[in-house]
Amino acid sequence: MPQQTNEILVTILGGTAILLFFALTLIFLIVLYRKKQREYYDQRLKLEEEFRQELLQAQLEAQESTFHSLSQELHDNIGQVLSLAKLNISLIAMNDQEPIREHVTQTKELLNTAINDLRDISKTLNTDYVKEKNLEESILRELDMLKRTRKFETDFETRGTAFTISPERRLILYRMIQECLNNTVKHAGATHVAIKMDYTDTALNISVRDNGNGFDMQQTGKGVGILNMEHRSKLIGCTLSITSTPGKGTQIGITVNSGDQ
Amino acid sequence: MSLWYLYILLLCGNIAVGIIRRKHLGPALKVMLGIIITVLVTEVTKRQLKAPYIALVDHLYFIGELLLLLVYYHVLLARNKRKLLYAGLVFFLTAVFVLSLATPGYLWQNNYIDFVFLAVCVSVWSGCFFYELLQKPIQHSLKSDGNFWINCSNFLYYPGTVLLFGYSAYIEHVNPAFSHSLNIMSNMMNLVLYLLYLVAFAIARKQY
Repeated sequence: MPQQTNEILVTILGGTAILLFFALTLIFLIVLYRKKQREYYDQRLKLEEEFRQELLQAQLEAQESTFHSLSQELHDNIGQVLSLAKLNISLIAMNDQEPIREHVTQTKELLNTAINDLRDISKTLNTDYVKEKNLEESILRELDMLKRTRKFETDFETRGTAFTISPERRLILYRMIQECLNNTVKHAGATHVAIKMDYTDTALNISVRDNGNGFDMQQTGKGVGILNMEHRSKLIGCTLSITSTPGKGTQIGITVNSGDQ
Repeated sequence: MSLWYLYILLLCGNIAVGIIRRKHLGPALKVMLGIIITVLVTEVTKRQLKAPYIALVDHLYFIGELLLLLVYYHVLLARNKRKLLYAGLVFFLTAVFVLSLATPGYLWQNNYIDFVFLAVCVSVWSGCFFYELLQKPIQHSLKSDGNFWINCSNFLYYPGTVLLFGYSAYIEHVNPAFSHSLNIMSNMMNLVLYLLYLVAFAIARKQY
């Protein structure tokens, strides 16, 4: 009888152990399979994101390259032509009578303005120039250009201790601010633009505010300008916020973490 | 004795957690909560009964358990798997019917061959659930899927106890003392089953 009991014991325990082993193995394999599936999915998402970033970067690089060529073209060709025209007019002015001289003086002033504007435009498009200058200087130059149109009042304020931002990020931030100002000029119908730069220990908060018409954020779709800004903000990992109410102007906030530099 | 109290405590714990977290439970888990309440009532009832009636309650309970689990899987599985549920039901009822014809007084005996048929059905249904789980979107979290834990538990318990129940009558016949020690093993498996059920009720979240 004990022999028989032992055999039963072996059969039951052995059989149970085998069945439990199979059940556990199957559960383990299911969990493992799902884990691998998730890893694969995450990896694919990461690759897609990387691809998007690279594509975006390539687009922006192409854009910057176009800006750069345009800047050189403006400076070297059109600028030179205007300078030469100014020189010629100066020569005429030296030899002519009083009424003609007055016209010539006015024309010279206009040419001077055109040359200065052209130089400013050339600088804003010049990637190397923007990278060399600090952000405050570049913004001030933009605001100065706006002011010279006599259609806008501008304010600029900076607070806190500035920290270093890499030239590439600086360039992208500058392009974003340019886009904000461009939108203000084109669509806002504003008369006043204020830019604030607030450096804290952890971040730089930039705010661009205008007193224009504003817009309904629910109803108005995102234009190319805003989409470009969003793309650029993703590229440097900064936060972009847009607040606008019809009749109360628009405020755009850009936050760059100091640790991301 | 103490194992039985632990078992009852675990069942009460399952019911309490299930009721507290009822808003987070999907329809299938609510059916499972009903099954656990039935188990508790059956266990307490069995405690009041004497020898031949206990076996009768067990046999009737197996039929009831299969029907309740059928409802659970009916709610849980996709429509195209329901044929398997009905096939399982027909298989089980036919087997029990044939068994009761072949063995006079079967319902009054401590012979739990019907549990073997029940275990086969539940194991197949659990397998269907796992198959469906693999087709679910990757966002579906296993950890917070209460039904995953329930089915892991079923998948371990039923194949793990099928031989103990299947051989129970024979073992009791040749060696009653040994049969008693195997009962402890069966009770331990029961504890594992309801412990995993408790985990299921405790962490389940509705997923869409």
